[in-house]
Amino acid sequence: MGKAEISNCIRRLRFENGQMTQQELADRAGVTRQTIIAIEAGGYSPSLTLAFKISKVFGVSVGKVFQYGGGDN
Amino acid sequence: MNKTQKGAWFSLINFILLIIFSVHSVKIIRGIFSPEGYPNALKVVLFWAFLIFGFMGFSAFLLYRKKQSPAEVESDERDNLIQKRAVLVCFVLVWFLLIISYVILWHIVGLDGSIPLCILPFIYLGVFFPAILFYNVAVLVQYSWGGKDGQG
Repeated sequence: MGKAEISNCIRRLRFENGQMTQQELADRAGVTRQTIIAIEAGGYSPSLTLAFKISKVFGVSVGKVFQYGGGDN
Repeated sequence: MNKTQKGAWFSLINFILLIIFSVHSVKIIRGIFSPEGYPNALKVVLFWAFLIFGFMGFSAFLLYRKKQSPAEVESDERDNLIQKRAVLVCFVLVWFLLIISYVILWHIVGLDGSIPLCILPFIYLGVFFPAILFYNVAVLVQYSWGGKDGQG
């Protein structure tokens, strides 16, 4: 799967959730900060499990965090 | 830089140092068996011992990383995926090098030729050392690419 196919708005959601840091999100999702950086940059598309964990942290659906084919990254 | 990445850098640098040392070891072995070359060989041994053990000691500090928060994890699905792919690269490379080495031997000694048994450990060393090198390079390259896609 290519870099541009799955986009996300994690960065925006972090700022909307009390300026959550990448480390805080990483801790709550159970991954490393490097993985959050890679996901935000579009370099890594997470597994479905991780996608659900991240969306659960923000309290929104997976579709609100990840978009297939374009988005507000 | 996370633990896996640091470990790969550590192994890679140590591996390169050991390769250079093995080249120098020819000089050392020659020096040990000749009285005039002995002091020079001793110097080379001491230099390399200082360099390798010094680096290993120093890297213990580099590998140590204080957790930024109590809940911080050391590795996750992306690290596992990167390691899995690096192992796959290693596995393919080992088979490729083994086949190449046997083809080369076949060309050298011919179909009915024979080789001393002591050659075999050198073939395996010549195959597995590059495999370690490629494993570390594969890990580092994947981290620089971002790790690509998750599975499952």
